[in-house]
Amino acid sequence: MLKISRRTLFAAFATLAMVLPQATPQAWAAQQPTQFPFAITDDSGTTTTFAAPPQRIVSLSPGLTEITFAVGAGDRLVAVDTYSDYPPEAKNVQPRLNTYPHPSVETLISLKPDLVLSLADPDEDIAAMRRQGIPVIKLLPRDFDAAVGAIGTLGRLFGASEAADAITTDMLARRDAVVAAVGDAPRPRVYEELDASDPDKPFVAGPNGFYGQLIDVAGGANVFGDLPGDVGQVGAEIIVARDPEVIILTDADLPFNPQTPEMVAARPGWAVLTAVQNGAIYPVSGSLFSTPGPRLVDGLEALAALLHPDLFPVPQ
Amino acid sequence: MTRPGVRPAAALVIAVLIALLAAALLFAAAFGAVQLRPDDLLRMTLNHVLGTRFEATWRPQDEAIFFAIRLPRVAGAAIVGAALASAGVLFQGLLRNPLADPYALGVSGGAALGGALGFLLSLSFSFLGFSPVPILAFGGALLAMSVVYGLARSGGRAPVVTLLLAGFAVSAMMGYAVSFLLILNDRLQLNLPRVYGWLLGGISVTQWGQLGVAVVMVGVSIVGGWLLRHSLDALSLGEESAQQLGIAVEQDKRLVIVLGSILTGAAVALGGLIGFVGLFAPHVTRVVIGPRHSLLLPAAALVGAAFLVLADLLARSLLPPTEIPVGILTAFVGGPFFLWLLRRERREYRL
Repeated sequence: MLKISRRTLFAAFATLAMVLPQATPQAWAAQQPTQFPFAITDDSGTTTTFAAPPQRIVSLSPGLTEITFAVGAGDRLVAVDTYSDYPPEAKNVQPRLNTYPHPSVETLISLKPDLVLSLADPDEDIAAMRRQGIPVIKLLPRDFDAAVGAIGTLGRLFGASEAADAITTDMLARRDAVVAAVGDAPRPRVYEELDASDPDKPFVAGPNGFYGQLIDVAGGANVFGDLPGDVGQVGAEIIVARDPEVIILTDADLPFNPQTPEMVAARPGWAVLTAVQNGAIYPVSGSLFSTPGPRLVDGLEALAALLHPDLFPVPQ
Repeated sequence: MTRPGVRPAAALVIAVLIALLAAALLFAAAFGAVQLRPDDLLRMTLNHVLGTRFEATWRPQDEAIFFAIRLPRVAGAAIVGAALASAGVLFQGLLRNPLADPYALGVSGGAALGGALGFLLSLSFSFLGFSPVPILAFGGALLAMSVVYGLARSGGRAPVVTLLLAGFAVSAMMGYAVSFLLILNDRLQLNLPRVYGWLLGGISVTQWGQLGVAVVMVGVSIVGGWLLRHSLDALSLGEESAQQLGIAVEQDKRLVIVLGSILTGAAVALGGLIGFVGLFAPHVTRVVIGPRHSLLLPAAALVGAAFLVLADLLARSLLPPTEIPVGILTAFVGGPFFLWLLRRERREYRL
């Protein structure tokens, strides 16, 4: 059962990789420049119509902040969430809102936004904002193409479709280049670690979500492709048994319990792993692999270069 | 008071329980998330222990899995189980309350707060093989317990009811402090599953050295508790009666709290907050062999060890490759068994 679903998944990714890259940018191109009033159906299934590009934007998630800056609308942000730290200018946006466990609707009203961007806030909170007449767009991309789509959507909404199209075209072209370069090359067994606060039972990348998808597209075989979701907690026994050839540490730059290749190599029993013996343990910047935004493709290229050093020139 | 001595029945009980624990240990060592052939395990163990030279029919990873990962974890589960069960016996005896468990005196809140700080602060140090999370959890547990004891003490006495209530209040306050810390630090709720997973408990042994430290702490505390067995028996009659029997009540209570704290702290350091074992193992043992502490304490320790070894086996092998927090299994497996035992033993139950 598991085998079939893995194969199906792979086939799905392969199909996506072949079909979408050509189709998507042309679709964006056909629709520019944006005609207002402009209607968007978001990931909460709600359609909102905008008479003009929003001028007072609140972003409740780092990825959406990043996209807003990337398409050149960063100066319209009147507030961001506390974790929006990229690009560097995002750190200067005030006020910075605490969104966990709930964003404060009172604060949002007082900011008089004409758009609130939400990634994954609870539905009740989004409904509460909408009841106060605040337009909310929920964009929760679950894979690379959806992230590209979110950039295109926001670009059009902000009246910046040219800038957005430049980014999306570039992202898709670079993704295609990775897929083409990797081709049918043998896929190394990859173990991608997300958090090892307990190194005996780390949290790891499963088959779905950005982490798992990037491993597949970059030409790796995720040793935990059989987990039920995006992320799972697994025992050290089973990691050693699956003998990864490459270890990717997205927990290398965590603010808590950051891991280093030396720490990984010194874990009991890990010395026999092929990855440890070949020194193929790579710390990476976790946000490149998890933030839905323009930098996903940077993460993809970095990962592909680590998995297939022979196919890619040394990254600058 | 007549000294009961070690009657044949007691020796038999202990022998049976030791056999049970040995069987649990063997079983847990033989199985896991990864299937290893039992005959391979036997041969690699003989190679390791006796220096025999059986040809390796197994992969080097299999040897690493067995010796470096599985065996320390199985041993850790046994130590934590024994520690929690003995701490449960001590606190139930001291507090004369069937709901008392190792966490009764504020430990769960203190350990959770320390552990959460260990997760959220950017610390990297290690002490005796332990990383920041277990060290801070151990410290939090001991701190909470000293605060509770300090608060409950007045005029040289620490009344049992005050101890219980102070323990409850301190634990709740520290528990909510954890929630507050998470609110301040959470990013897209990423920390929540990690910290709460830890709060649900899970045996984590990353170095044999940790086991050495824990064995000493737990062993000394259990022996210390056993030396206080007559005081514990007397305390179960009430403090006044114990006093009349010539027991130095306040001094022995303090000793019991110190020993229970060390046991619980050691358990927290190796396993996080594993629920139910410290409640379940003493009660089950008491139902079967009676309330006398000379036998109850060692027997409950053995029962707790065997039980947690098996629960941890399920935690790592039930849903491979996913690990289940062992606290979920201690409740699901131990709970129904305990209820069945309570109903089967129709006779009145007393501490």
